[in-house]
Amino acid sequence: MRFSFLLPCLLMFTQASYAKDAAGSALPPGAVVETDPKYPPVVSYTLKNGLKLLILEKHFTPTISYSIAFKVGNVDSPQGKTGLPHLFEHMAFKGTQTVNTKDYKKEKVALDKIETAAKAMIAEERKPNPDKTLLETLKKNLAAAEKEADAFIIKDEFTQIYKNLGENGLNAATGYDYTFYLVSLPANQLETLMAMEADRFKNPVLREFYRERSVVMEERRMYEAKPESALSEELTTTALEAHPYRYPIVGWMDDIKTFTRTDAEKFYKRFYVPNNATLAIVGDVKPTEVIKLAEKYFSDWKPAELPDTNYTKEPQQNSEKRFDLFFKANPSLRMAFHNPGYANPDMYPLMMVSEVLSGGKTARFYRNLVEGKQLALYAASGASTSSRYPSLFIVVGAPKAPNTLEALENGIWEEIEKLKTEPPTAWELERIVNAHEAEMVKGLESSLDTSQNLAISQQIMGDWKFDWKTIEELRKVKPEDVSAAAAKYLIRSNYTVGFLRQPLAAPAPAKGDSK
Amino acid sequence: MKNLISKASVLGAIMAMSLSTARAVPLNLPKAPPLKFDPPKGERVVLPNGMIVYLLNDPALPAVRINAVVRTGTINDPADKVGLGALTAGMLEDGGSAAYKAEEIDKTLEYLGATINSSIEVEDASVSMFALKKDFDKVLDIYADVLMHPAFEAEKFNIFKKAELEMIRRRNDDPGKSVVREALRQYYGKNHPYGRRNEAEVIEGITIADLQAQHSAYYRPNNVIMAVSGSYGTKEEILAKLEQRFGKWEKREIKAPVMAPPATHAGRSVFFIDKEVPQAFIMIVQKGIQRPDPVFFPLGITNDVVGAPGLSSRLWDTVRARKGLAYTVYSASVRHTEYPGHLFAYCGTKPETYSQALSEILKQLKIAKTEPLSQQELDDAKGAKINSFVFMFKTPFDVVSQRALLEHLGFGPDYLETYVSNVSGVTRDSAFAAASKIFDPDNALIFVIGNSKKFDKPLSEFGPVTELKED
Repeated sequence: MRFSFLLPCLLMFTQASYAKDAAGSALPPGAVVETDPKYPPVVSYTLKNGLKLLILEKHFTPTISYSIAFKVGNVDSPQGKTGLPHLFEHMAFKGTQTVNTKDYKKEKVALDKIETAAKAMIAEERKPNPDKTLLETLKKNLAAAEKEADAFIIKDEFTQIYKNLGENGLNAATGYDYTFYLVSLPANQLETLMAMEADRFKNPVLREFYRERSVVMEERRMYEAKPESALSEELTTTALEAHPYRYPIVGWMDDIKTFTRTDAEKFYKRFYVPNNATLAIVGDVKPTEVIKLAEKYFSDWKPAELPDTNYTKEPQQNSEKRFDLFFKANPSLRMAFHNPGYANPDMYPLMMVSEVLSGGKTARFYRNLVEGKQLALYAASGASTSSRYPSLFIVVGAPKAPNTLEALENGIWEEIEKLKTEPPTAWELERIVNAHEAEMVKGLESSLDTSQNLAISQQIMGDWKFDWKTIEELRKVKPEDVSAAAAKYLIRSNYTVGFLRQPLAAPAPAKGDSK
Repeated sequence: MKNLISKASVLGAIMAMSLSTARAVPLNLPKAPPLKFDPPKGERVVLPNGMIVYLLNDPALPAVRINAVVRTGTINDPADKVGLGALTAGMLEDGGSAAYKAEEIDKTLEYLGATINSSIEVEDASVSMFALKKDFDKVLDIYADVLMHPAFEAEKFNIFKKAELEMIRRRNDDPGKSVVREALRQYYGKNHPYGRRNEAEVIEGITIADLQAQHSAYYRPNNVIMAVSGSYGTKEEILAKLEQRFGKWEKREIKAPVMAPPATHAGRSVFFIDKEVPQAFIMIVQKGIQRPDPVFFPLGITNDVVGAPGLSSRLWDTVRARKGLAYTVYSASVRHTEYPGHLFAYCGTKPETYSQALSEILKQLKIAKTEPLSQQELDDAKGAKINSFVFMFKTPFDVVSQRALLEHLGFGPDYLETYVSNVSGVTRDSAFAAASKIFDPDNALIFVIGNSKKFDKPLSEFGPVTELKED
């Protein structure tokens, strides 16, 4: 999960006058419409409970796109509960005290029984030597309790309602830094959307928790089967030693096995509060109407003091780290360098480093490694894996047979070293800025993408204009800054590399050896 | 639902109905006002050389998009040159043109933030472009030259071919993808155009002359439907620009190779590749339908209930949500034009309980065949489809590129205009008639890649097993 660059500048939006929406209706006090033509005319408004609203009118079709972003990601997992934010995201599709249930009062009694049974089962499972017979009984008890609760469930009602309304793109995602939920609906369903989503986050009921835990275990197994996911997980946990970015978003399998509904509810109460969220609506709406409905449905959502999120800082790396990941697949490699994070102005030249190396067919990796020496099937880089804290600058690549991983690694290093001594040309830097400007325009084609970008940029980077402003920062970067950033960060003592390669063959038995 | 007056009222009526789910306490969701929606059409123009163009001007964003659908596909690969279509399409993007060297194209496009992309599917090929409004003329010049006069530069071809060979070498690295490819290969036949795959020795033998011949045979104005949308000015302006670039492109009679019918299957068969992977990957494939076929609507409604991708269906309910056996499980229908396509179900599940997931999927496919949908399920599925109709027109480019593709695939010009009434017309009887005719798990081919040492039951319980080696 990473930020896409959405940077226009060429956009000529209909300029809205201050404090009026595009149709000319007066906005309520506190609402602000963006009037600088560099940016889309987004209307911003904050509810008293801290929930931030962003609204962008778009009238090509009668549809609305909604995203809500929470500043809580895997980085905020409690100790020993990696993956809990992701599991909670799954649970946020399981209904509320009125949705997915026939009678919540009776259901609650059944849910409490499940919780007691599950805790007993997990406690036995966690013992050094679990009693197998007892464990079987405890598993059966849990299954029986779940069956009892089934009597009160309306299966998948939450998702079915959205389906019936004609949803498009109903989904959610969890990253290291944030969690977001999104859906598009026909425009006449604005009020239903607001009612459903407010209820979803104010009154969630984490029913069928232990079944969904199993679904997430399957999700984890699915990633384990993919070479690129396996290598990525191994690289991240090797490169990072102390900061919680090192943990897989889906969670360690062993942590998933210990989750209880009680854990998830505690987690929900800490982070799922209105003052930790931004809600964006893009589409065929009137901002005044969106604000009115947000007040109606979201204003009684209680804010809370946000937890301390100063986690262990990653210590400086002073060694080169290398590993071989044995996997039955063709070879590939992944490299990581610690970056300084977005609070540090070095991030912008470092983004340029990444783009000079791999932002297209004219970029250096493609010109020299895919073509040129023809070492690679592909080679690409990215300046950061996350955004709230310092993270990793990543390079990925796969050699083209008969070239080896070592040859590709050397080839990549030659390009890095060359960049340190030969600054990029003005043409290379202009190419990058121009490409980002075009990406901004593309990003505005899809209402759902736009709503997602607005919500995440506001909630995580503190400014919905973050991507637009990034391009201004990139424009200021000089060729020598790019070389300096490469020389400062892309160095051996800041370097971790993983090779994915076939398991070593078992040594051949010596002649005459027999069993 | 029979006395429907306009599309707007269809949407309102069905939406209201679909919310009255059978529940003890009514949900207090607000009532939606009716939705006004007339599907945007774009304009269809035929140039003198036979090239069809769909146009939709939209000045909201300062950019233009074009896609040319070419009536070719991997089905047109000669039997001894499988992969030719993919190399030809790929090299349009990479290999330069008569007037522009490949390197010059890359530099110009990337400096402008513009793109030209080409790709091929089984039954269609696409060449598309994106440019900011200010660069449109320049990028259109390159795009037109690439489409009509590709150069297939030798050095680029050599690199492209080696990349294709490397991809073949890596084709079994992701078992979740391998199982789909191999199941279809077994189902349609290893040499059939619907099921075959590229092989290294064949790719090695394909030459630039082959690419030129393939391009000359299919990339012709009378074989192209072009969709143009964005901030391109007036209709006269854009037509003059297109006429100037494409006006001299010569028509030619298109002769595609004759395709033999695919293999037929009677009875259940199971194919298996033993592999140490954390999940068992399962494909269940059976005969599907052709396009266009009106049975699509009742069959589609049934499959929406049974297992269409999304967050609620019977497969979702029984395999994922209630049993926690899978993260991915769904069923879908793939149509072909000349012969019937296939219906399939896909699942990734842990090997220790794979048989539970597989049995449940087969059971649900059987129920679809033998029992009609409930009225509630039917109403919900129809409401969902009609209410989501508006999302077939999300952007101006969606509008015209969809119209172009539908025309290429043989759908009538009123397909979208009659879509809602076709969905509305599906009844329990018509849905059941379609499903009982098409759903056929007893004659399905099952393909599994997984670790048999961990299987809870032998695969032979699901039919006669043929074990294959990964290759």
